Amino acid sequence: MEIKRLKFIDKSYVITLLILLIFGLVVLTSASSSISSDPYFYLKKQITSIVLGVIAIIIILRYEYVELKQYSWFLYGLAVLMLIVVLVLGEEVRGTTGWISIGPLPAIQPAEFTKILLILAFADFLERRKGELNTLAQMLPCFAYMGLPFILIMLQPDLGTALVYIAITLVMMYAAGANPKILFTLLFSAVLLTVLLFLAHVHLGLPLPLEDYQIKRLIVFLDPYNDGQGGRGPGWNTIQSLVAIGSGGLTGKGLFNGTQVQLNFLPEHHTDFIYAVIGEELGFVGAVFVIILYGILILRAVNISYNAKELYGTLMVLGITAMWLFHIFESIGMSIGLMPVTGIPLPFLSYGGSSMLTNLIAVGLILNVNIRGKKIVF
Amino acid sequence: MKPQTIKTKLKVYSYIVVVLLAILGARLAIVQFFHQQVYQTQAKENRIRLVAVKAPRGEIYDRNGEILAANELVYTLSLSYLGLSGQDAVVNNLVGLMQSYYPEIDKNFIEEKIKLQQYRLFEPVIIVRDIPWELVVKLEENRKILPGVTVTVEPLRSYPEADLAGHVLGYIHSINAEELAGSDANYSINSLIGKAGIEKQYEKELRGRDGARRVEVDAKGRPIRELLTMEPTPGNNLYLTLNLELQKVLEKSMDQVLEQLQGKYPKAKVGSAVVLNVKTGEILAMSSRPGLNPDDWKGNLSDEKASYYYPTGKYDPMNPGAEVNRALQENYPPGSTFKPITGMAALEKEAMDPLNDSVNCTGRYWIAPRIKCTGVHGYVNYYSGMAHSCNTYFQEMGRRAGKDEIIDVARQFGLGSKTGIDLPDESKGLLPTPEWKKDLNAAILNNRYESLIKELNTRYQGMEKNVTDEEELKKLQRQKQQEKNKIDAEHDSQYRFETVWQDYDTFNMSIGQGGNNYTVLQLANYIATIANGGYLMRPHVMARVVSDKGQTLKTAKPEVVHEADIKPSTIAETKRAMLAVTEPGGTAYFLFAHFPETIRVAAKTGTAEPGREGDNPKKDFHGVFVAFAPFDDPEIAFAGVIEYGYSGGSSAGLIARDVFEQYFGIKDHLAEERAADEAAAGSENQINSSETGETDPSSRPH
Repeated sequence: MEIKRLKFIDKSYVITLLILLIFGLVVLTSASSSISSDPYFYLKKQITSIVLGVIAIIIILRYEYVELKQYSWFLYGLAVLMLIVVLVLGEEVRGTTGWISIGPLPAIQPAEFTKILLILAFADFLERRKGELNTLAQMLPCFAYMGLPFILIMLQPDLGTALVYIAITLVMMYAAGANPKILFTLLFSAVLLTVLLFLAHVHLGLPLPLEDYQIKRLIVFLDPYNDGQGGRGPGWNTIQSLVAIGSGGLTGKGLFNGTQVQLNFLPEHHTDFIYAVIGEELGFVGAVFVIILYGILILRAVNISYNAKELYGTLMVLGITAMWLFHIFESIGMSIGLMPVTGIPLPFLSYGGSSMLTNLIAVGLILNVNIRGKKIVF
Repeated sequence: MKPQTIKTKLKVYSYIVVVLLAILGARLAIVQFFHQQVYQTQAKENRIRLVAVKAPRGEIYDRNGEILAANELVYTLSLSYLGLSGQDAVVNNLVGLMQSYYPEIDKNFIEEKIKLQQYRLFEPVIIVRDIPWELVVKLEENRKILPGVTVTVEPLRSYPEADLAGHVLGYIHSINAEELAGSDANYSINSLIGKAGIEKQYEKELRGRDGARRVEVDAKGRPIRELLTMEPTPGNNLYLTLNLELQKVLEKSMDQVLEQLQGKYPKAKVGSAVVLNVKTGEILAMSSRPGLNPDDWKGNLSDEKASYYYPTGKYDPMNPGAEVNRALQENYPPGSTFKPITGMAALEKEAMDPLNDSVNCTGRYWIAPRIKCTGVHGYVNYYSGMAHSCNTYFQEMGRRAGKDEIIDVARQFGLGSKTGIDLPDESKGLLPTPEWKKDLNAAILNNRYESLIKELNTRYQGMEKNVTDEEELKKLQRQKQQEKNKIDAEHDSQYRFETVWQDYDTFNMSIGQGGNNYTVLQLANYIATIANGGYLMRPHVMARVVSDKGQTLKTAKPEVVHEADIKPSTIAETKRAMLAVTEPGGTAYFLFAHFPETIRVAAKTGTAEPGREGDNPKKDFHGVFVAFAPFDDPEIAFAGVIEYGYSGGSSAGLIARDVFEQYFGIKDHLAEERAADEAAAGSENQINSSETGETDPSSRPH
């Protein structure tokens, strides 16, 4: 690695990330202390993931990211293969077969890593079609390219990650020069179609290729008490999360003092609902602080993407921001009753090795683009 | 061109990012600022639970502080902190250890209990109440493999004297929906409530107020810590007017009498008696047979017990039902025990000279329907008439007094009205009056008339159908009219006669037959009113209400319901006449001949026709007996009925004798029991054995 290039690194980016990671570890300690006999059990594992992630960043920074282009089809193939393997061999956790364990290694969630692999492969795929994305016909191969992994992830079924794929695809295609009108029309019709399908399912009994619990979960966030069990069924998570955040007020109840969290009313509070822990224990101040950090992290990355040497780097970084943006909007959104409950982690904050490692690899890639950019941004 | 486009696109994208994040921030502000109160309340409701702490029910004692209803401390086995890992293993271990004591309790049984309570797991799940001490020890030894299994000490109602005074005490049982709807917040669906007797009457005093623990729980409802405990307020203790010793003698004697009688009269299964203090109205003893054991309601009544207490189907004298307190919830014809009323009515009317007015009894009364007498008594006056229970004499006195006077006197002595005793579901009895007779018979006659007319109509309708000839039809109609006229005439004459009080009604009433129907308690209270010189008292069972800290909250005071407007001489002569009953030649002489001169007994025997379906009118009589003593300064009154006891003196009279013997210290009927107790105590403790064994003098108030 050319050490001297490190001086071009976006320091505000690194500092923001460090603040976010430390903040995350503190919140995780509070969130997980009551669910295991060793109060630091989850903290230790999370730190291990971060250390592995930092090692990954260092390794990534040693190489020119553009060299990855030549492996695009390999990366794509690897992503698809992982998704197929997990479908066949995956272990079921909470209704989805997203987990896979290899020998003594800890179980991993391939869906997390595939996002990066696909972003890398898709960036190359799009760069090759630069300027040829004006008509629907020209855009179809792109949809097909991303459609395969999308279908595989839907089969798990992991709706949250599937939607992340859509966000990534749309943002990257938009940046690559795809006709915005067509993209918008497609997005709009897709949303409309989805809404219509759900309405038809609810009112006319139209069968949908989703599990019943998923459909219920998707609709119930609009009126969580109307879940058929008085709020003790599918609506429970949304209610408890809202109660947690709502009862936090301006400054929260203090770390380790959130009753919703510490007494386990809030389910999955160290993973998918970590944001509700922040809302309850640190209040509006802590919750907005996190949103601001994310804002910096994404907007700085957009800036880095602008200064990338070539479109490949721009698209890669934007793909990553799209991934984060969707994760953030969905994860926070479901905590405050704005989005349906789908189990996807909040980047850098939720407990989970696969997610942390993926996101730190993504950081490595962004920084790689950053230090090899056209000009240095301050 | 490319840089510009990408720059614009990135700008657009950046705006989208900012807008999306701003949406999150805005929603956050709404949730955390505007709905904060609502969510804070919800968060609190989520984690705080109130767990009721059962208040011990007040205890019930007799007048001397002997315990009748207690709170036995029992070991209750429960499971708490459920939902922890390893619960399965704990349940398995528990089932294994309990196997030899409770073979019916298996894993499913326990899991069902947990499931039933799934939203209230912050409260321990009770597996069994009242487990044996050996099991407690066994569980304690195996504590390590039983995390979450707890044994707590809990008060459970118990009745140390079993069925003694069972009907007076009543019983408690699970609250029903109706009672719950009418109750205050101190009751829940799991509450027990008094259902009969004292337990029902004084529910408010006895219940106390449940306390509560505010417990912080987690999402699974497991208790995390206790925030606050409100101690329960124990119920108040009740001291009854009952005298445990006298009650024992009364019940023992009644059981013996019933057993003896059953040899001759198999239907003699039911009896009841009341002993009360004539000066205060205090109930000293009250019994009803077949007996009631409040402990039978501890769990659910077994089928066998249910049919014992509440037999279904047609009335069966061999299984008459035991739940009813026959001393005050059942009416009996008083038979000859009503005669003092008739006598007093004649005296009040100044229609009789008790000593010099003689009536010649020839074995029948001389006026129709010439009701038979119990014998041929020759010339009798008030005293000998009472002593021999002469029907002829009292029919004549009834005739002289007239129905109105008799009814008035009977009313003044409380017959036909509730006594107002502090026990639930008292029966009113029935004092026959012209109005009563009219209502009763008018209904019967009208019913019969209507059915006759109906039958006539249908009969002629059928006949008219078959007739075509005009002439024939008219003939039929005439015929029908004639028949109808006949029915009308019969009905009119019957109606005129049977809805009006007739002389024979007065005669019947005079000797306690006819419509007369009173509770044993009413009879006792009427006799007490004679004994105390005309003060109709409200009988009562509660003597004192004492708080759990020993403070007396309420004391029952003697309450005069009515002061009889009867001449003192009338009462004095009647008492004198009743004394003659126990004097040589009287129907109850054989019972009290051995009593000392200072404790003379005034009494009246009675034999009443039960009038039940299937009874043998020659043989099946209820034995009724009333008495008070001592004659010179009356203290206690007795009334008793033994169903199918044939005669009063040789059934209920024997019980009165035993009770009076005990009360006045003439004979200790509990000597055997005392000796047995002493022997038991003596084998354990040799000291002080010589100091006990005498009749407790405190049982006789002076």
